Amino acid sequence: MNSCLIVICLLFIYSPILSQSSYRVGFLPSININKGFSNDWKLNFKIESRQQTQEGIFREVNNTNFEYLLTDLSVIAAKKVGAKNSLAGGYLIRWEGDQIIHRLIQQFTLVSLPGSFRLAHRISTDQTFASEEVAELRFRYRITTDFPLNGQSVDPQELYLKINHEYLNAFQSSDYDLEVRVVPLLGYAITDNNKIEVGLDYRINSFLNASSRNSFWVSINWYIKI
Amino acid sequence: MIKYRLFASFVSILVVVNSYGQTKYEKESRLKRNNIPLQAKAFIDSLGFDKKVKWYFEESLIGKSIEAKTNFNKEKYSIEFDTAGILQDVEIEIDWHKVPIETQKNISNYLATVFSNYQFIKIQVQFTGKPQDLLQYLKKITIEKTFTTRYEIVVKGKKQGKRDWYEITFSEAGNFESISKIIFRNTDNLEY
Repeated sequence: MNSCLIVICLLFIYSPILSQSSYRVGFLPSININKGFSNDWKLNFKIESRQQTQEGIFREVNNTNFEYLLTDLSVIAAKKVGAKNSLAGGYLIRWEGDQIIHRLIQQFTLVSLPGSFRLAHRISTDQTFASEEVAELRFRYRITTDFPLNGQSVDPQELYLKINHEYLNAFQSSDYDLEVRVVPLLGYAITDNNKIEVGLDYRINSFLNASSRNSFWVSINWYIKI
Repeated sequence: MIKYRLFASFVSILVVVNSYGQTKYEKESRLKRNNIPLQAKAFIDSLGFDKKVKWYFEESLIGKSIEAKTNFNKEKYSIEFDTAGILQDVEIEIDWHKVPIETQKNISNYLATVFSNYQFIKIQVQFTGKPQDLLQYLKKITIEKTFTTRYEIVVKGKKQGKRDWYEITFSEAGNFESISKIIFRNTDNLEY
């Protein structure tokens, strides 16, 4: 309930800066495949695709057409360094139009259990490289929580609510931009190792120096551990 | 062309991965008061809790049970019954200083031999016995303990360089009875 209020408040705060701002709407399906190894190592493979169905300026122009935008493929190796925290590093390759983009990722995650919900903090940095472009460096912080819609913990065959909130600081040459993401998702745990989530991935950026750019992606995530 | 191939690969991975589900049977759900066996309800009512009691049905590979949870006098109570409403145990979350000194010493000695470093996460005192005896004690009608007392302690401990959470059971005197490593629920969907 409190988390729903937070989401509503955030949308309310952002609403005044939506006028004259651009928007994109589309789909963002992803598959996360996780594999655990001995000595507390694990690998995460992720494939994510982005398709746009609509774009325009708020209260002005609309353009509706289906357009495939990009596909990301990433692999991240993580090592547990505490009871509930881990250090990870990985690589992402992005196919976007005719361009191939490479990204190096480093992250630290900490999961806590303050009550019947779980809270995860993720601090990460990444460096993106593309031909004929200056490298982009990002520093990110994300807080995620999930809680069951029934009972005290997310058990198999139960629904849960998950909310992500992330701040991304992007530095490219002398430019700086801040992106904020709010992602409320409804999840279903088929088993503890097999979960499906559907929701809205809302992103806003460019609001510091110009009219904001807003993205509304229908996010469909599948997490599986093999 | 490449984008269609990528999309096709994406869809095919989606299909292949679907065959890898694992089955783990453990479920807990809220219960309404009118679905609780009379015996269990009567026991809880006679304790006179002033705050709301939440009822849960727990189903695992070990069996099925009914659990009542509430806060009373700033302590968390968890009272377990079988599905017929027969009392199994009463667990109360307590502070370390409420554990008798001698018991504390024995528990600390054990923890110091097993872990190079440890931190208490949760301490519960567990009472098992006849409902009438437990009722008398919990209602402070008697201080005589005619039932079994154990301490269930959750610690974050460092052992052979690795930090994990453990649930350890001690007798009333603080003698070690059992230990199990706590396996957390999958956190992949929180991390990635």
